[in-house]
Amino acid sequence: MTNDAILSNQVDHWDRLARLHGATFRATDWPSPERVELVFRQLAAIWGDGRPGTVLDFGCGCGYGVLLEHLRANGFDVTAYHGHDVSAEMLAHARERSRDALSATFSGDPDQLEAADYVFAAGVFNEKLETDATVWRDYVVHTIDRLWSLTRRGLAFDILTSYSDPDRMRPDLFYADPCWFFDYCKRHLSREVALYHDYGVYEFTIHVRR
Amino acid sequence: MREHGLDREMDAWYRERLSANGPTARGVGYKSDVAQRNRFAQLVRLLPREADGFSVNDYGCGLGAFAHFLAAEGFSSFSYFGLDSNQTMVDLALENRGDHEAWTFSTDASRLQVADYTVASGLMNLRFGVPDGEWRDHVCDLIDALAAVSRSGFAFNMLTKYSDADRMEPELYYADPAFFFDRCMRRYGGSVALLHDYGEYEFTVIVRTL
Repeated sequence: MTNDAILSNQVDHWDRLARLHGATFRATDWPSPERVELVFRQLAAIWGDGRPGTVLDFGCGCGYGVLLEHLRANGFDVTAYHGHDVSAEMLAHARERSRDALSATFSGDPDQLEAADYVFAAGVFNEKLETDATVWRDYVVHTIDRLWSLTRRGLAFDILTSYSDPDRMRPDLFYADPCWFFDYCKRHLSREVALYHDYGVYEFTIHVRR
Repeated sequence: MREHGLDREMDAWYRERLSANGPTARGVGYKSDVAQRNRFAQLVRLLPREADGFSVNDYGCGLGAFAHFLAAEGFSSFSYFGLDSNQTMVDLALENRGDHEAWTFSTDASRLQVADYTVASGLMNLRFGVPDGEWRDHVCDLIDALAAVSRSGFAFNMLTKYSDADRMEPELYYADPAFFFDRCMRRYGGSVALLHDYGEYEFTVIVRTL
């Protein structure tokens, strides 16, 4: 499967969900609204100081559970927010939802992405759909490399964990080995890496700092 | 470890440090006071910010600097037990505890009791001539010992294998963080954080067991 094929697979999936459910929780494919909040909290924890900063939200989704709203509600000083999503249907909802938000822009064109202080990818690496797991891992790594190149202070992302009960794992989801991703980030991205697998769900968060 | 004469070697090493530097961070083998505080700042993430009245074991407490650090950070009503094999350090720790009479220190491992939390800072680094494999087994036993006396969780730090080869010293042990993360995930209930993003050539593992 080529990157183009993977991408068009993703676009079809997320466009369909956006059409079916609109800007609602069901379009996100997360198991619960609480889970969305929990993951946002884990990712945002990389922003340890009170300094203002810009944000790139990679895979921003439909506008339900907007990371921008979460950050601002929790006291983070977001001076500019850019949401990216491969699904045009998702983006249309996200734009509508955030039309009154200050300094928020959106795009579906990956070539238009600009560097930001903090880059977040919440739940974007989990649904591999029919893609083979090793091919999907390459795609994830390629994406992480690209996101790191756009990161000025910190990059944070989450992935489902290989430390899950085998009988509850689904073939359309990607379960990553946290050790493998930790090692990859240490060797290829930065000396400063943290791995959190301690928030009670079958996934982990990685923080990479400049 | 006794067959290597490690206890004697360890004792002599610390005695020399202490007499050269006095009862300071350097006197217990840290590079500096700042380096020691940076390590404590990671370990402290194990502890509940709001809750009072927890108990904590400090395994390899040295001069009890961790207890003083906690007090300075605003933790007030915790109970503390410091264990160290070095009698001089324990004597100094007792002398310097001020009016914190509830803090206890001992060289007697049999006095160690189950507490809410246990921390171990710098306990697993100095291995002198013990070969890697043997030292790793010893460290695994130590971690089991930490787990056995901790109700809600424990945390420890180690030097990292992701260090510049030309700056590594033969008498120190540089651990593979992924190995210890994996071992803790599989043995102690699956809630583990691996912090390797605080600017030192070491990492901290935080295990939550409740």
